Amino acid sequence: MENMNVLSDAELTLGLSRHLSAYAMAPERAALGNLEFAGQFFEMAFRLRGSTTSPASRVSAIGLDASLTPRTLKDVLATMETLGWVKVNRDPNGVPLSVNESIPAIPALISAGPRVLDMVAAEPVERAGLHLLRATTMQPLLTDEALEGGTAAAGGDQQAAEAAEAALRHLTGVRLIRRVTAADGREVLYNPNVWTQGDQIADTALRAADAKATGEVGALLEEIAANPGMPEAHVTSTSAQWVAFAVTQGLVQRSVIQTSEGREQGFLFTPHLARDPFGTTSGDASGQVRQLVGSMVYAATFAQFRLHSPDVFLRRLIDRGVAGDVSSIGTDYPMLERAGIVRVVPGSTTNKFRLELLQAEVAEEALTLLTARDPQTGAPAEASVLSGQRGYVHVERERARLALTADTDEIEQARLLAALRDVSTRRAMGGGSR
Amino acid sequence: MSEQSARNRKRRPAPARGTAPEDTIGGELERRVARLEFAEGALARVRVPVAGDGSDGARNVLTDMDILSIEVDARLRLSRSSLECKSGKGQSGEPMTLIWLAGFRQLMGLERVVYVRPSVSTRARALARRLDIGVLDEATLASRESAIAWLPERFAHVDGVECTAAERRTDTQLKGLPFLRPELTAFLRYEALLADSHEILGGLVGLGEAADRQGSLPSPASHILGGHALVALLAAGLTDAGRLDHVSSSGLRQRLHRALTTGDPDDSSLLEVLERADAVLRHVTDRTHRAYVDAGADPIQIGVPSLRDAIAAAPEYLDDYLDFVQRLRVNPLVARDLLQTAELLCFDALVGGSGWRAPAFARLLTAEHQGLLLVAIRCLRSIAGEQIASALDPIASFFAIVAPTTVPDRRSSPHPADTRDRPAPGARNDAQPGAAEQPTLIQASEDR
Repeated sequence: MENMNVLSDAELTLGLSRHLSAYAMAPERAALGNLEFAGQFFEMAFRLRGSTTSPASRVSAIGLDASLTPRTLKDVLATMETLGWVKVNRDPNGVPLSVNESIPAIPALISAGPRVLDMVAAEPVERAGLHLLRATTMQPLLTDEALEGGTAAAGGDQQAAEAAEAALRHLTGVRLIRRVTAADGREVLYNPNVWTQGDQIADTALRAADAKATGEVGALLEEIAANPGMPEAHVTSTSAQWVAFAVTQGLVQRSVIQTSEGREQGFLFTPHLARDPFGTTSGDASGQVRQLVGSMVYAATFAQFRLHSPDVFLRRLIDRGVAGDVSSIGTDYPMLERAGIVRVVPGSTTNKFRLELLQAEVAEEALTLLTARDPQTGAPAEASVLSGQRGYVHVERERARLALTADTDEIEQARLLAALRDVSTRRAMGGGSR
Repeated sequence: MSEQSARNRKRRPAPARGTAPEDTIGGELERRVARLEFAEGALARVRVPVAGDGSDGARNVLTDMDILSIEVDARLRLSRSSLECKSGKGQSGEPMTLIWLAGFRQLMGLERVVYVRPSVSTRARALARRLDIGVLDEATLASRESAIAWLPERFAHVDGVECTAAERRTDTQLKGLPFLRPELTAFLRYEALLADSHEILGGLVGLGEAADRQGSLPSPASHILGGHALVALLAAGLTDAGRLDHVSSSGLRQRLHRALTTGDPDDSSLLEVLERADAVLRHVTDRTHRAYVDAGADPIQIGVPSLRDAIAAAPEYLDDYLDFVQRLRVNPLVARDLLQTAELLCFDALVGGSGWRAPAFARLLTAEHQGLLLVAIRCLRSIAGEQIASALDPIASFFAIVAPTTVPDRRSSPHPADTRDRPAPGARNDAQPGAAEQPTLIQASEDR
């Protein structure tokens, strides 16, 4: 339940079931059978969702296509019926005729994960396994720490501790967790599909543990994984020193955006950016995608004239090759220009500039990233990545600082009130939002 | 129309005291016209009260519409009509009624008004044509009725006996339920079909909250209110589904978000005002705080909540509702019938009527209608809460009584020739809304 946005139960079980399907039936796979079933359940839910009414034959075809045996499909549908997600219409002989589904919208579907795990009666070993998988994907961990968490997830008693040990064996067996023994004899666990640096990542985990910072780093990683490209200044989960620590240890990647006017802002990413726990890698080795996303978030958050919707801007950039016509483009993108991603070209008048796109694929990936949690598709909570930052009034922080140091209270207050009045009058004159 | 009925009284003895409206001669004509409208595909209701400026709750009735009829076309555009019936014989009042109707259309923003009389004079027809008002006389009505003889005479809000009794009983019960304010229930029962989607959603949320405060609702009030809530939700969903032809789904989401948080779908300046107000507030508290510190007091940190954030939080049900809207839009041929389906099930089947079993209605009760209606009830549950939605739970079982049939497979291509290049049927869900939002996953073939 911790951290529903990143690596939800639904996402993990679904990936796990597909991952396991590549293995022959063996004790490791059999022991995680309920999780595999939960994954198949979500697979069917995602595929059926939105069809509303389907003939029984079509549902069977979907099931076969998802590599579900007819028997499993029957169980999956029965589970969904219990949840009230589908209703199977049968003829008088009990033969299914059609299937009506009212599977909830994606955010609700994903957050149904824990309920589904309860319904499939996930064993302690499986709950521990899910925890271990999530924790070691999130960050490299000392074995003791990881097992402690796994034990807690499985119920917390002696049996749970054994279950956690067993779960670790199974996950190592299906190569979702890698165990490394460091020079001093301590053992580190990590997900080799996300932490692709190899075994040296173990040293990082040890250093974090020595600094008693595992918790701080974990919180930071979760926060950034949920909001890729988040401005360094907006990190709330931990303090600046741990951000710096995570960056130097290679747990977090930082892109710095520097404008010609000398302003500088850091934007943070995690390796989860485009890698999932099960081995899809479309890594951004050169960091160009991170640069572009960072620039867009900068423009939407800090720039003098804020960019209203970075995704729309990027889309136009991809469609037409050029976009924008404002003065701040002239100053804000020197790093993107130097990286050869875009070029700044003169705009309609002397002081205005446009961006011309040079590397379309970088822009497309950045766009996927920016829209991945678009309000249209995401839950209200996760939708707010960019819109929330857009709505963030950073000037206030500066004003508050000013107010504490300089003696300009009356002027400042008058200015704020004037701004308030200004919006009201614009409204009265029928002025739009911007 | 009080003025009009005063005129009628001159020519015809007034009905005996205590006669229900549906038993008068005029009431009979209204029922026949509503039945015809329903048979031709519109949701028809008789004698719908129209409120005045809304200042005096239920008593503030301006007039009533003899027949309110709502058609949904294949692009899911709703068009609302009012049909005005005059059963008197003389012709003296015709011009006044027609001009009154033209004004009434403008007042209510209706797409169509129709003037119904046993016979219509040539003069009145000419005037009606100039005012763009439809005309229906007894002869036309009778000839059209002959083609719809298989429809029950009375059902649901077309003066169905059970429905009328349940509505009357609900009127009485509501007087004993103080938390369900008359203006809220009147809105959902009579006005929602003329309202915009965000007003309906707001009303449904209000109903859910009121029902929770009230505790359990008696029957039939729970069924009647649940039924009206479902029909209203369908009207809102269909309106928004029709909008998807002009705006993107993210545009629709923003519009609803604005409408549901600030009350106005086209106004975003309120949030800006609040943002500035927050700035002022924080500044002043900072100053106060500093003044205390300067005076030697210890600093105490008290967080100031942001007004903007308090207002701007999107309602939780929005995803669910948009999912429902998109499902309506992808199957318009079925979605356009849903108002009628819900009307029959909620106000005939659920209150104990039997008219809904007529073969004439079988086309409204297919498995596809059931599917969309189940989604609508799920959506109602997330908007108005468990209590309102659970009253409608029996609805799903009514479909089983109608003989189950196979459903068309609308999502399979009839050309299986090139399946090799294409993923098998199940995987072709990229045409489905939401398919692209699946978590990215892999076939872990390398691990083999």
